[in-house]
Order: sequence, then structure tokens, then C-alpha cells
Amino acid sequence: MTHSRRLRDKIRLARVELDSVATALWTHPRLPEIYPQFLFRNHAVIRASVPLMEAAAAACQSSMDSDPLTAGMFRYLTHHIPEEAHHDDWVLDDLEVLGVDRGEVLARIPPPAVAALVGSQYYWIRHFHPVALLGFIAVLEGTPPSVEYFEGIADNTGISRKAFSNLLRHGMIDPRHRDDLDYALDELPLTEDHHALMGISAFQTIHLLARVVEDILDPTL
Amino acid sequence: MTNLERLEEAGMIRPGHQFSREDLLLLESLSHEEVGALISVKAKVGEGFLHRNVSGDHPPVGIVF
Repeated sequence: MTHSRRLRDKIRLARVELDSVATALWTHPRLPEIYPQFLFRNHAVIRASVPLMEAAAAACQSSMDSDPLTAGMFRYLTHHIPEEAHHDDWVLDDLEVLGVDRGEVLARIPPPAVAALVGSQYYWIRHFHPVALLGFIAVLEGTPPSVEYFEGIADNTGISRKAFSNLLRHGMIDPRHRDDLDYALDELPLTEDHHALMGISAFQTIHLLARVVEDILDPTL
Repeated sequence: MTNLERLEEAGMIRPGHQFSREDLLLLESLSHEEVGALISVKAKVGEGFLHRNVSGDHPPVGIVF
């Protein structure tokens, strides 16, 4: 079994919680009302994509002499970082379509669930091993948004398609990004310990990502 | 104790859930720490396997990277 298949199968093993929350979100009867909240949370996550990869790349660079894994991971990250740059602006564009000011979004305190999701990755990167981040990326880029599905959501709810630009663009680019990660994983000299850490990171990511979205569905928050 | 037994005891697997041989092998390949993580985050294990070959069964959550 390839490294990527092994990680993808583990994710499939544990992703039911995330799938359930996703279904509750996209079939929510008040989706037009909660969609800006979803975008705010997506922005809070996506603004950390490049900084997280930069932190992991720096950790890889500093241990290249002693860790045979980090050179290959560094190559993957330095290739992928420019591809993810400024995607947070796409979410701000979508929020502007809905009448939400960019400055207001940037000034608002992000949800604790997002801080836990992203913050846990900084812990793994800085205090244990950056390979954990590949479990996080595998979850977030592992199920690219379907362009057809989200165009349908926009049309059926009356939300402008222009407010879905982030998801529609990712629907076009993430299949390649997913494949690039799989290719990189398959080329890396991963050990059993690396696999275990990526698995733990992926399971944690699934759980915390579900919390990020569940907050929107809970009317008491 | 096998991983399956640990997860069953923790209530992470639906009673009567049938795993394929391939899925059981994957489950038993998980490290002690990975199984601990699944229990810690209260992940319901195995349901996703049911949808292995079913595309479009669930929409993606849409939080992208």
C-alpha cells in the first residue's frame, strides 16, 4: 500500500463526524443567513494556510542535516506555498459580495475552535515534527468542493454565485493539489512513527474542523 | 487487546458493524497512539468505510486550505 493510500484510508475511517456536519450545513434551512458565518470561519482558517506551511518549511530546513524526511517535505512545501498565497482574499471578496466589510472581518476575534484547529498544528510543528501538517493538509484538501454542487447551492438558495468564488475556485484547483500531496507523500521516506503522527493529526483535524462548523449550526452561540 | 476491541469497548464502533478484511487490516495497523486519538476525539469509526465507493453521498464541508 502506498503512503498516500494509507493516510487517505485512515481519514475515511474517521471522517463520518465531518460528513454529518457538512450535510447539516449545506442542507440547513437558513443557509443564506448562516453562510456569512461560514465564510468568516473559512477565512479564519485559510488566513493561516501559508503561515503554517512556512512554519513547517522552516522546521524542515533546520533539521535537514539530521532528518532524511525533511528535504522532500521542504520541496513539497516550498512548491505549494505560492499556490496557496492570497486565497484568504478570495473569501474576503465573497464576504464583500454579501455586504460584509473586509476590515470588519479582519478585526473580529476568530472562533476558539479555529485557534484550536490551527494552533494544534503549530504545536506539532514546533515541538515535535512538521510531518503532522501533512495529515492536516490531507484532510483540508482531500475532498475538493464540487463546482456543480456549489453552483446548485447558490442557485437554489438565491445566494449570488459571486459569493461562492472561493469554493468554486478551490473546486477547480484542489483536485490537482490533492494529487500533488499524494505524489509527495509517496516519494517521502516515511517511517511508522511518521504515519502514526500524520494519522493522529488527521483525526484531530477532522474533529476540530467539525467543531468549527458546528458552532454555526448551534443557535445558542 | 486488539484495536478493534479497544474501539468497541470505548463505544467508537457501531454494534454489529461489519468490516471488510481489508478494513480490519487497516484498523489493526493503527498505532496505540492513533487509537487513543480516535477515542480522545470520540470519532465514530467505520461508518466512512460504508461510503468508500459512493461519490456524492455527502457534500464536502467546504472549509478549504
